Amino acid sequence: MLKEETLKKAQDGDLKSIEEICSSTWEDIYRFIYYKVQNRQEAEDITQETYVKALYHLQKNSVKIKQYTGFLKTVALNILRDKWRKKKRRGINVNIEAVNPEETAVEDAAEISAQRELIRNALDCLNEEQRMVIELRILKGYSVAETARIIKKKESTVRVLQYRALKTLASILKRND
Amino acid sequence: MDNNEKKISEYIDKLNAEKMPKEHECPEDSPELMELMDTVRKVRSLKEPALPEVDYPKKLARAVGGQLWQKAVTKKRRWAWMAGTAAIAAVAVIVLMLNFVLYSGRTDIVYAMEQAYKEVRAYHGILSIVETNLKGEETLQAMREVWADSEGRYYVKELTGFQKGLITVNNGEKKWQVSPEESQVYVFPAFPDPYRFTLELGNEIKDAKNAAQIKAAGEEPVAGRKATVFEVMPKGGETYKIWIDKETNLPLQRQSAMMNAIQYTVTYKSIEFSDNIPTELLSYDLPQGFEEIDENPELLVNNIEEAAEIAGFTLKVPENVPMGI
Repeated sequence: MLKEETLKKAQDGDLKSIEEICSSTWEDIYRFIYYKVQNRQEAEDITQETYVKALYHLQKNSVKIKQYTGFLKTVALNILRDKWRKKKRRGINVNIEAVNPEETAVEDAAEISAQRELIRNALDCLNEEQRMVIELRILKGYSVAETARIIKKKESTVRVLQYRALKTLASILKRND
Repeated sequence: MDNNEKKISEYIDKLNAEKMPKEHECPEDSPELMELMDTVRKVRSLKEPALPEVDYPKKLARAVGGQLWQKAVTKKRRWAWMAGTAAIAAVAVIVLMLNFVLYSGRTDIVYAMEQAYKEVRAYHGILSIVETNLKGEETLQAMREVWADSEGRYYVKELTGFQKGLITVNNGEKKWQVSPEESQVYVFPAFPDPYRFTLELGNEIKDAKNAAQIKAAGEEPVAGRKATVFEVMPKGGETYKIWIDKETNLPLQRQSAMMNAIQYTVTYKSIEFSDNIPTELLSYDLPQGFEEIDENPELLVNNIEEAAEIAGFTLKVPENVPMGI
């Protein structure tokens, strides 16, 4: 639990207090953002933007926050949504960030594990080859060449299998939404 | 191969490399493709996230603190500007318009460099420093190995030249210089650090941004890479040239103006980008048999240009060494 004094000092730009806040809360926020963007580079950038926006907001509005992590998650979600809206304004009407506007910042662990269960079930619906390619490429992080070597297929075949598998998964997940 | 299959594959590769895919910045027009990318992320969420390095919370706090401070400064400036008269505003607009007309192109290259540098976390390069005299005779003065990151930390080792073996490091907490010849380690405060090393990418871009004028001066390859040459006129000092890599939009070479009948050309003979500087290079360790000097230490430099950068003014070299020195 963060002390009110630490928050106050951090809002005034005190580096030690900012460090204290970051050290005690960053992992929750980072994981929350990473879950949406699925890459470290973007997650680190958005985490940083989240803290800057949150502290700046508190500086300007002098409001008291009880659930600091929840507040930070809300700010992070707003940043992700803003990004999505900007993209939409450019004439693109797809949801790049996978941010569901109905999702709340306090998306609890139960929801995440339910979502994971759905994905696992969807993976089980794939045929053997497709599931293997998805596991090797996405879950284990192998390159197309490495995957091709492991499953003894051509690289072009790996790409086709991967594409078809994702199409199947997308339609299963859509049905379950 | 189907273009969409290739795009999906590249998207997966980018996420596997823990980098932001370009589609997160400029989404694809195809809703089908975007849906598949969304599915990739969903599947990937079954994995444990890749966590940042151990010192991330510290880095994060520093960056957040810095940005908050910058916002406060910008806000103050904004208020000061608003308090100005309409006449001043009008003059400013005219000056801006003139700047735009006279120096169009400057913003583009500086912006391109800034954007490219934003992507850089750390880099490792080999620099050559060549001295040219009035007759056009060139002498390789030194080769230098450099490591630097976007947090301002660096490691510089002189590979050849009269200061061969000299190592200068700033790890953000402390700056030191290891002089093998004297068996001494000079210790300095990490900040302020007016000098990093010539052709440090961040400083070079900052200099270009603050310059009074930048104009394109042709194209010329550097170390086998296609580059555009720009003449940079700083707000104070002599005009110099920089070569910008056409592919990466980052500086490759810098050539100073001829001063005291000498001109320096600093070139990246090779440069590669990485996530960080190896930790062992940034950790302070007094070598056995070395003496630590932390009172009135003197920073050794390689040439007059570097000394001028630290001093903040151009140095004049006496033609004759005064008696007794």
